Amino acid sequence: MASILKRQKLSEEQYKDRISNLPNSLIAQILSRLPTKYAVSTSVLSTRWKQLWTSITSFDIDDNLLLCPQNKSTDPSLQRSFTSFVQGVLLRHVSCVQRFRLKCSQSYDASLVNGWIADTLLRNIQELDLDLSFWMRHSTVLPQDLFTCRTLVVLKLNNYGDMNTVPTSVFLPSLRILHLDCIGFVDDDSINRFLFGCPVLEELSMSGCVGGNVSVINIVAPMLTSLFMHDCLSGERKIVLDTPALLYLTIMDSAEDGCYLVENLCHLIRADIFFYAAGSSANFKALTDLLKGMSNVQFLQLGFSTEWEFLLELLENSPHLETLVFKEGLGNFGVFTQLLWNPAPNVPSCLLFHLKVIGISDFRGEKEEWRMVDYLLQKAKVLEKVNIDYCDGGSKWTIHASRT
Amino acid sequence: MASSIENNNEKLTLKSSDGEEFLVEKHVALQSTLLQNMLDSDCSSADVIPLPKIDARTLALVLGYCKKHADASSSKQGELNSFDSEFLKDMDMGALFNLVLAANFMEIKGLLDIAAQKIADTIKDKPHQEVREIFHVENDYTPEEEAAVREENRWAFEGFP
Repeated sequence: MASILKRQKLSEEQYKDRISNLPNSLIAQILSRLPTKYAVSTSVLSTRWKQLWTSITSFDIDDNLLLCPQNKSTDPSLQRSFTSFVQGVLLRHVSCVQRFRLKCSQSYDASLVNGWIADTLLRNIQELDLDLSFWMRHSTVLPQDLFTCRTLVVLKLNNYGDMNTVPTSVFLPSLRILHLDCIGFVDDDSINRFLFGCPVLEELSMSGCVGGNVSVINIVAPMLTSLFMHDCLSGERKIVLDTPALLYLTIMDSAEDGCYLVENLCHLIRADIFFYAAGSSANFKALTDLLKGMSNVQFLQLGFSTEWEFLLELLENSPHLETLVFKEGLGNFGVFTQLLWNPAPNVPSCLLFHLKVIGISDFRGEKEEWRMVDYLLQKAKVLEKVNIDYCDGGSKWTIHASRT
Repeated sequence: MASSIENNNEKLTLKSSDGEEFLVEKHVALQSTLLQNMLDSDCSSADVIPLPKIDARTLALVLGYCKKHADASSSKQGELNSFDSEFLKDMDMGALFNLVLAANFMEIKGLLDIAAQKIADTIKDKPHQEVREIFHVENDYTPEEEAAVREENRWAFEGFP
């Protein structure tokens, strides 16, 4: 009898509406994690849910998701419903908007969008993430208050077009994460002023940030631990890295005439370096200089063809290297490389004491490549694992070897 | 007494709503802001701390999470992320709600984040009737009221089945 009662109680338990009985603050936290469209639409679940979404403090508004599912994007009444919603949300949340993400693929009245952004800045905003449509990028101007916002911790700007409005004084004292994607700066001064105004920056990502007149980018960031640079070199531009706390560096760039100059990378432990069109002697020097600055690196992934001379220099410059991955094979060899084949009499110390893992993708099996592999396998005394992916036209194979 | 002395081996006792006692290392308990504040405010670690809203099954789960996070070093972020995603996998809704309430009460931010996210993911992309069925929410709107709610933020309902 007791067990029947227990079972009955259990099944009643199972069918209880637990979610509606959560405290309002907890429901608000759950709804804040949804795209705002879904959060608002929960108002239809039951009368208990009618107003719950209004206490969310985090907004993720993507008009693509909102307006386009059935190609009704051109319906002006829907657009009006959308814009008046955003307006209303900002009016309602007078004291606190924790996160505001806005992605517009449609074109709206620029003064309207500028107004929304300016409004978030008055609401102790911590995270602002803007991605504007192609049609809007030249008509919107970032509000000047953005550059002196004390509460902002995360700022992500996508497709904002030309940033010709960096004010003379930039101070973002709380900003820890900055992502700039397809942003044009008008000159050296404006980009360097912007970066210099972020004294506690920990994560910086710049992608396609070009501007014809920018010749030197100074990344002077004492607290930066993670840096991602993609397509930021062009012409003879120089990018200076003065980042003593940096732990992780990723560079995906083409190094024709420009280069990265290392002032301070003394704590770097992982570097992923991809260069397209690497191979000319000029950028060979630029790469060596870059790698010389990374003397503490433990994990290195290279996405460009290497050469013997370069490999040796690399090993000598990285005494703590534990993992070395070649994503683009070991090199394109000509007659000229054979002349350089000259194993150093002193084995680099990373091979003797630290190098545990070697990975090679796109291995072509050329004689010179085998020579380099042979050298590494013989000299690396604490090697634990080797992965080689061979790829030649139709045939593919992989070697995995590990010391047990 | 000992609560003011920094000692990694120090332990404290937590008592669940159904009377089970758990002996917990102090550094594990410190994952909870609630317990941290209690210890800071001179609450002796020799006392048994009652957690009247949390049953033994849930408390065991919570402490498992805290231990993993307290013991992992900061460089093992990847490992912690995969632990987190495994932690809630296949958990039934009842247990998940117990957990989110416990994390909220004990102020364990990381656990609260992943549990709230899991519930949010269950709501996302589903028709409203299905959400009602999953969570046993009774629709007490009249058809007219429901239509009015939909009309109020019309764009938010576009594209829902």
